[in-house]
Amino acid sequence: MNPDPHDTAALLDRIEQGESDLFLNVVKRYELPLRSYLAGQLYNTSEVDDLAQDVFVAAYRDLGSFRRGEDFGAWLRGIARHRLLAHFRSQHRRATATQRFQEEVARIAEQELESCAERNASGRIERLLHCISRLPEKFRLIVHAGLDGMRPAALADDLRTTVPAIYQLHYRANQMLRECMKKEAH
Amino acid sequence: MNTDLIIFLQAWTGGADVSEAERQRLLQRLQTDADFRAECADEIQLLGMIEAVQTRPPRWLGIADVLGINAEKMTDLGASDLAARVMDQVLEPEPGLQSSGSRWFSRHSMAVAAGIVLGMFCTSMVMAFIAPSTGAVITLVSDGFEGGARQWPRGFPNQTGLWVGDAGEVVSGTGEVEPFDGLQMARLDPSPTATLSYLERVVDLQLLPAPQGDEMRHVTVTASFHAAERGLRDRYTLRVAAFAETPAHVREQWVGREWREIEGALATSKRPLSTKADAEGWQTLTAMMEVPREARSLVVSLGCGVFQNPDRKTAHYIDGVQATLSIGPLPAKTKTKRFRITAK
Repeated sequence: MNPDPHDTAALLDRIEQGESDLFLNVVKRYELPLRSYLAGQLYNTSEVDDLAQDVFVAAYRDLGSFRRGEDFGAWLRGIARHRLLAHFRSQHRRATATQRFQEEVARIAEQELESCAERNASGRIERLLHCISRLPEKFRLIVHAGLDGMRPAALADDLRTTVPAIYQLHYRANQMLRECMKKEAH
Repeated sequence: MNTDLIIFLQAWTGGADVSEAERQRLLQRLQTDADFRAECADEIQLLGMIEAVQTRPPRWLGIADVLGINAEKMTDLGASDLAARVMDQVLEPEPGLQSSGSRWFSRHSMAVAAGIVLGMFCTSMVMAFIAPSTGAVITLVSDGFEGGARQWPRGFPNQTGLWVGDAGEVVSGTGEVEPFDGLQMARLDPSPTATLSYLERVVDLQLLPAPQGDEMRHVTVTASFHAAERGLRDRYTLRVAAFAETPAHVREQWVGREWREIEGALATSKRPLSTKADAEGWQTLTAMMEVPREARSLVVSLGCGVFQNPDRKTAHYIDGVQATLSIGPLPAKTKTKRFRITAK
C-alpha cells in the first residue's frame, strides 16, 4: 500500500480545499490493499466491502488528522483495525464459531498481520493476479474457488478427494504464488 | 508440512468442521509460538489478497452519498480500476517471451488494451486486432445483469452477445436473496419438462488473437448460483464447449443433443454441483478449458434445478458471470490434448 506519499499528500490537500471528487482517486489507489487487509482478517466478501466503505468514509471525514508525508496506507489500516474490532464486538453475541475464531486470531496476531500488510504493496497484489493465471490448472481451479463456506466440500466432491486435501493443495498453490511473486519482483 | 497450519486454515475459513477443543488448542499455540503465529498470519493475509484480487470491488455507493456525487461516477471508478488491472496483464507479457520493442505502448499492445477496456463492460466484447499477446487475459463476458433487457429470448442463441434460454428475467434483490454482485441478478424459472433450466450464450472467438508458436488459449468461466427456496438440494452446472463452427452454425451442434452427445465439440468442460439441503448463500462454480486453435465459437451454458426430486420445481438465481481467455504457452502436460479435451 505504498503509492508516492508526496503525490498522495498533494491529492489530499486538494480534497481538503474542496475538490471532494478527487477522493475517488484515493479510493481507486487504496481499495485493493485495504480490501486485501480486511479479507485477511474476515474472509467474507460482503463484510469486507462494507467495512472498506466505512473506512474510506471515516478517512474522508477525518482527513485533517492525517499527517502529510506519513504512510497513508498505514493510516487507513489503523482506521480499519478500529472498525474491525468494533465489527467483531457488534457481532459477538450472534457470531459463529468461525467468526469467534477469526476475532481471536485478529487479536492475537495483530502485529504479524500488520507486518504482512506492510509488505503487500500495490505492485505485489498486481503480481499476484498475474501469478494466479500462471498456476497449473488444478491449483488455479482451487485458488479460483476459494475456501469459504461450503466451497472446500463442493470442490472435494468434484475432484474426488477430501476436504483436508483441498486445504493442502491450496497451501501448495499459495507457496507457488509466493515464489512466482518473488520471481516477478526481480 | 505443518499439520496444525492446515487445521488452523480449516478453522479460520470455516470450510471444514474443527472441534471447539481443537480451536482452543490452536489459539493457545498461536499465543505461545511466534513462528506459528507468523506463518498463520502470512497464510491468511495471502488468502485475503487472493480473495480481494479475484472479486470485483463494490460500487461504493455510501462514499458517493458522503461526497455528494452521482453514483454513476462510482461505477466508472470500478470499471477503470478493473480495466487497469487487465491492461497490466496485457501489457506485461511473460518474461523471456516478449519480442523486443513490443512490451510497452507499442501500437499493437495498445490496440489490444484499448479493445479490452472498451469492450469489458459491454454485454458482448468484439475486438479487431491482429497482435498476438502472450500473457494476455481478455474478458469475453462480464455480466452481473446490471443493464440491458429484463427478459431474454427463449431457446438457443442465434447470435453472440446475449443470453438466451429457458423462462426467466432479470430481477432486483428480493429481500430473501440479494444479488451476488451489484443490484440485479437473473432469475431462471424451472423448466416444466426438464430437470434443469438453462441460460446460454455464444461467444465469437474469430476476432480474438490467434495463439502463436507454443502458445495456447485457455478459457475460465465463473458463475454464481442461488436457490429461491431454502431446504432443497439444488443442482447447478456450468458448461463450456468450443466449436470449429462459426457462431451462426453452433446451434446445429448443440440443440436437441444431450451434453454427452455433443461430439462435434473440439473441447468441453463441465462443473456440476449438488448442494446439501442446508446450503446457504451463493454457490460459485468455475470451469476451465483449453481452447483449440481451430475453435471459432464458444458456448457458455448455465443450468439450475432441484437435485433428485423431479416433483419439486423452483426458480434459481444466477449472477456474476465472468469468462476470460488467457493466452500463453501451452503447459507441457497438456501439449498432446488438442481434441476432445474434457476437463473434469
